Amino acid sequence: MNDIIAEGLRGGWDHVSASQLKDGQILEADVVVIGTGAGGATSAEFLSRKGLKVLLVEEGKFYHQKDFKMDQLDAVSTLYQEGTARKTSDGAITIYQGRNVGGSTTVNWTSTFRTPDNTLRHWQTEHGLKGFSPEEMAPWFAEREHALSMSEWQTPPNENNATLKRGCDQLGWSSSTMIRNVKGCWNLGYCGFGCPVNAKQSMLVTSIPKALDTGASLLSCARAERFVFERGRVRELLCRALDENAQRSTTTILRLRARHFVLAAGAIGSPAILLRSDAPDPYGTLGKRTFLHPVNSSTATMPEPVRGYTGAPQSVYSDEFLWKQGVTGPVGFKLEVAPVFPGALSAQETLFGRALNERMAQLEYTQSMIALLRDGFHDASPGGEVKLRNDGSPVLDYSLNTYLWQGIRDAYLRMAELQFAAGAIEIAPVHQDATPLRSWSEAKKAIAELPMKPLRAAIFSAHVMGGCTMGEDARRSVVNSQGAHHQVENLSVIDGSCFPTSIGANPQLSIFGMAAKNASQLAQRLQT
Amino acid sequence: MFSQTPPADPSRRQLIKRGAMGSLVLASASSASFLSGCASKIVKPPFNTQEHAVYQFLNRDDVLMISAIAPVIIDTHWPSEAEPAKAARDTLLQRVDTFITRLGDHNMHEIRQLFDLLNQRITRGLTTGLWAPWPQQEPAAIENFLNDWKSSRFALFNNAYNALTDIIGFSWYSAPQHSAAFGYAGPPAYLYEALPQLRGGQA
Repeated sequence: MNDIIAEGLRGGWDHVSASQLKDGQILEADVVVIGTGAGGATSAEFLSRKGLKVLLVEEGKFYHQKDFKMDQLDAVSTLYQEGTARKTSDGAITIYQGRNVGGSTTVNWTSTFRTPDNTLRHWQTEHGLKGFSPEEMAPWFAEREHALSMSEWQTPPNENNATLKRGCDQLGWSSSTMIRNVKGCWNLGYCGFGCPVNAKQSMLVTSIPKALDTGASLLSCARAERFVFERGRVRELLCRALDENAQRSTTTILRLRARHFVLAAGAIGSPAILLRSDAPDPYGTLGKRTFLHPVNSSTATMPEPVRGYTGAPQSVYSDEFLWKQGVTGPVGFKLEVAPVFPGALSAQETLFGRALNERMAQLEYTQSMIALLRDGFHDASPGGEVKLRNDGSPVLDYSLNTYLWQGIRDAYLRMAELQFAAGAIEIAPVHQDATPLRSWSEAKKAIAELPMKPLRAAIFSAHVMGGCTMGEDARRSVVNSQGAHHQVENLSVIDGSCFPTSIGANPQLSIFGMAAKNASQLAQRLQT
Repeated sequence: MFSQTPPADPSRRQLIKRGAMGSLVLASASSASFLSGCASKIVKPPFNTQEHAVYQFLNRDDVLMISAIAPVIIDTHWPSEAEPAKAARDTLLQRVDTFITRLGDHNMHEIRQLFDLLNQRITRGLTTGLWAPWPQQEPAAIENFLNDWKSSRFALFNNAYNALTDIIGFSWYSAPQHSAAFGYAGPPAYLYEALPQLRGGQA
């Protein structure tokens, strides 16, 4: 097995860790791309392909196969933003985002969906996007599906996913097999820890190597702090070097200069850099409309071992309740499962003592359902707002309101119903006030009475979207449909922060497709 | 079992009394650096224990506090024999220390304030009802304080409870030796031969 990253580095890829550089150093390129996740790496690939000299900047470290040892504590604390301790300002929602070369694609579970037609049409009619009809996007999705080896998963699902399918079949609900971006997958289950066998076709092994092979440079361990503007243009980007593990700040400041800047630091990072830079924001849209696909979960104890820590983490899903009440009606949700590793299980449950012991003792028999709420399609779901703390670090305000709580309660109910239909012995909504429930009728009653409140219901998000929304009307958006900033001439935003609502599906292919399209158009503009 | 009289719900009453006052203390500790002038300057990490372990974040008081709280959180899965318990404690402290130092500046700052609050007699007493030093606390009293914080109507206590149980629970159960008995003993053994990055490790 070849570690293509190790080979590339030996073969002369232009990579440097900012921890090695001197204060005040100036780095120049045609285009500086900030962020190496789904948006940034795809952009870099398409810009480099057209002969533009690209400099990729990444806050995290350049980890690759040699570092992916499937250790829970190491992976969680080095590959994710804030070591997975990132939360909304009220502490009520835990936010999982990647922080490494490859961004969230290094640690996602490979689940692949095109942006749903309903979502694309909603963006056209409600947010005035141009060029995003299902027909116009189809070739971009098809190109990325091919490039990233995305295909329907042929291996039988693990028991965690099989339970989801069985429950749906019993109840007459729809369910489908996932499409995954893998090549030669070993079906181990460690996608969230960095793929140990380079099977996942993440940015780390696809677009980043392609960009570096065509002459792009990569600067890791560098935090983009602020743009310096001059006459409506970005003059330079100031970056702070971090130490060699991308943990501690140093006093070294680097100055990055280019004809054009592409911001792709994710839906919390991108608005934060613009906020720190005092970027023009005449209509107060920056950082607003930030969406999360808020997720609640339900754990079941099954009669047979589930071993939710082994096998492809997600291979089956159900959209039974995603659009059922209309695109703009009560909030819909997608049903999926989450892998069950002991560290994460203990952290999500926030139990202690005997209750925690009992939960952990059932590890092998635990099935874990999750529901992803499709936020942002209704007036009662305006999303959150990215703000800056006094130290300049970003934090997201996001209120779970009556509209969303209704969906969360509904999702608790449906997950419980499904788990009992699939043969669960008992289930427990993941909620501070929940106790194990032994039957569907008991669960129905208990869930109806659970308080739907922050910090009582355990809510998390692995999909942050919006904050630099696209649109043709500058009064309602930050960038236009091509990602060009409405007020700053040589600045584009090309990442998940551009989406005007949540996607309604795991967003990686939505970002890949949008980035391929908008970066290609940008490359054309820059070449003329 | 008939001889046991049910407790007269003292925790409930204490919680109500302590609730408002405690949340003020916790709020001022976390927002206005109420404690930054005194507590965190007393002992500066790195700190050497008698066992010569070096921590990047934990100080002497943190070590005593976590050594008292962790066995209550981990409860029956905490080793009962003295020697294994000591070894487990040292490993846990090392893992907690590593974990916290990777959570970023903001979280480290918040956790420092929480730990300082738990280490100082006055702030600990007002927020938890536990006035005696940590090594003198009974497990039942620690359990009471954790339950109070968990069920408090003040978000600050809920968040502090979540932080404590997350950090300690995750640091404990993410070690495969602590979940092997329930089915997960780490990556499958054959990978230690098959994967270059695991060769030389222990299956």
